[in-house]
Amino acid sequence: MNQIDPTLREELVFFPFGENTLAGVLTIPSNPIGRTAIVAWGAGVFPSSARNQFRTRLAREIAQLGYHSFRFDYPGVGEADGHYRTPVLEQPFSKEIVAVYEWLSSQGLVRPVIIANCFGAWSTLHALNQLPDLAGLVAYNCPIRRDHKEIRAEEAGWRWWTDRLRHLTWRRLMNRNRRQRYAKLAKARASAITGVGGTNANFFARKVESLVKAGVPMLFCYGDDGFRGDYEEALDKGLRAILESAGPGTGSLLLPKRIEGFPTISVQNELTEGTVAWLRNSITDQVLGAAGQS
Amino acid sequence: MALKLDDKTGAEETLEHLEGPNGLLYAWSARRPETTSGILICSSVLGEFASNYHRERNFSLELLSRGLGVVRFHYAGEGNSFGDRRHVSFESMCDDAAVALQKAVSLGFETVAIMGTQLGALVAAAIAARTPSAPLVLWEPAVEPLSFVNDARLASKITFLERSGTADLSQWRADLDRDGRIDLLGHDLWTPLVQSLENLDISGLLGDEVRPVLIAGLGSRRTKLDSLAEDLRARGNDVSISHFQKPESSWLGSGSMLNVADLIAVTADWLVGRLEKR
Repeated sequence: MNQIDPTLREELVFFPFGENTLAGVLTIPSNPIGRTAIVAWGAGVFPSSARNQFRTRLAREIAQLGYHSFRFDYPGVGEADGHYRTPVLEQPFSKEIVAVYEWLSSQGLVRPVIIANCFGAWSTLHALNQLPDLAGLVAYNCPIRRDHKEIRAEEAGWRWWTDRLRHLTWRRLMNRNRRQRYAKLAKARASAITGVGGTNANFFARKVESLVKAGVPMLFCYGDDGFRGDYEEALDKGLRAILESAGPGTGSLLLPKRIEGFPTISVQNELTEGTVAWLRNSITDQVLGAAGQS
Repeated sequence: MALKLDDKTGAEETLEHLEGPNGLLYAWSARRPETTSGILICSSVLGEFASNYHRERNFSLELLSRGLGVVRFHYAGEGNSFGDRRHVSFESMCDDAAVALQKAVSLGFETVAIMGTQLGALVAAAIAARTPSAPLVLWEPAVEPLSFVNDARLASKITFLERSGTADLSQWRADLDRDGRIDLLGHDLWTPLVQSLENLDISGLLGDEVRPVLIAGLGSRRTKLDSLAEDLRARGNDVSISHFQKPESSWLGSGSMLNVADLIAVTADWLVGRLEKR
């Protein structure tokens, strides 16, 4: 990893989100290039620094390229108000992403590149129509059509199901949220067996296509776990053609290791290096080139 | 600096950087206008930093609602603070905590209690030793300072079981000697921290000054915590101990957001009682 520029500054902020207040950290570059990066994470419990300061270090590395970079906490996490919500694909955190975007815009920080992890990437795709000047998207382990538990339910053997059913009590069945969760798992399993149904598989491709048409470069990063299988399936079902029709700034970074939760330092470093290289090649050089030409 | 004001209660929350000897420290403080006493919370680091974050914040808000002030901070090299994690050691953590204690004093807290969570309990004990008779709260204190390494290695083995199944719990010291650091389930652990923690114990750090102490156990090391309580009592401290059920390892993460209302309520009741007596 690079040494962090000691002249980088950070501003700590509270910003509005409906009735609540969210918290964030704005990293201010020494040599700004007029671009912003929103580092939006998944729905985990880590505060805005993430595991092993991964998000902190990533935001600072990006700021060294000249970006104002912003990391923040979702409601009920870190220093943000509100209650923590477990992630449900049908209820993305798009309002939170838009709140960040609007606050940054109010500070004159526009044309953001969003670097988003997992549920944060999914939420960003849902927020696209409210992010009119999005300049780029880096998505780590973005869900394609189902969440981690649905994947587990579809692929797990009878032992996993026996264990789940063993915990199925009358009290749990009386809980609406739990009932919905069990129903979703059962539906996922039934879909895998019958080949019928399943969740909206086209949403992801449609959103990517809209970004391609808008000329927004994208980088999709997957490991050998999580949503990689769904991503490859989507590639075979038409996503590859969409990505190939995009400019050279759009592509994939596929790592032969587990990336969900960033459980090793090597995966944190490789994703940081891949992201910084992509930003430099796909966004920064064009911005600086255009500035030089003008 | 960022400020949030509650118009109804007058309570204010502040996010700011504190100038520390090892880099700027990310700090959160909160108080009401009438607040004259408060608490400094010394978190843990690495996986324990994240797994306790939510409950430490909720505990802080509970204290704020009861009229007490709070200062929390991230150590240099951890969280949103600056500083190089390669240089993090027990001494650097104590230096950072001393800066945060000064912040508490500057907020007008005439009496300051000290709290530490897991590895942070060692820091809290060292800081309390410099603060005569300050009440001390220890959440799941690290009776054996390096036990967190095996906790993390075990969690790593569980996490990667399906893929490798070969993680060796006993090899970490050899790996550390060879590389100067090890990967603890995605967290950097460097030699200075390990070396600085060797042979530390809470009773020794606290010294001879007596004080009220609350030990809250979160499940796994009940016998050792009971022994710690006995040891502290034998030294003249007024020790209370409560045990709570925590569902899983600090390093596996998903239990971090679980409701620990009983832990928070018991700790807040104890603390308010001790601070009111002073």
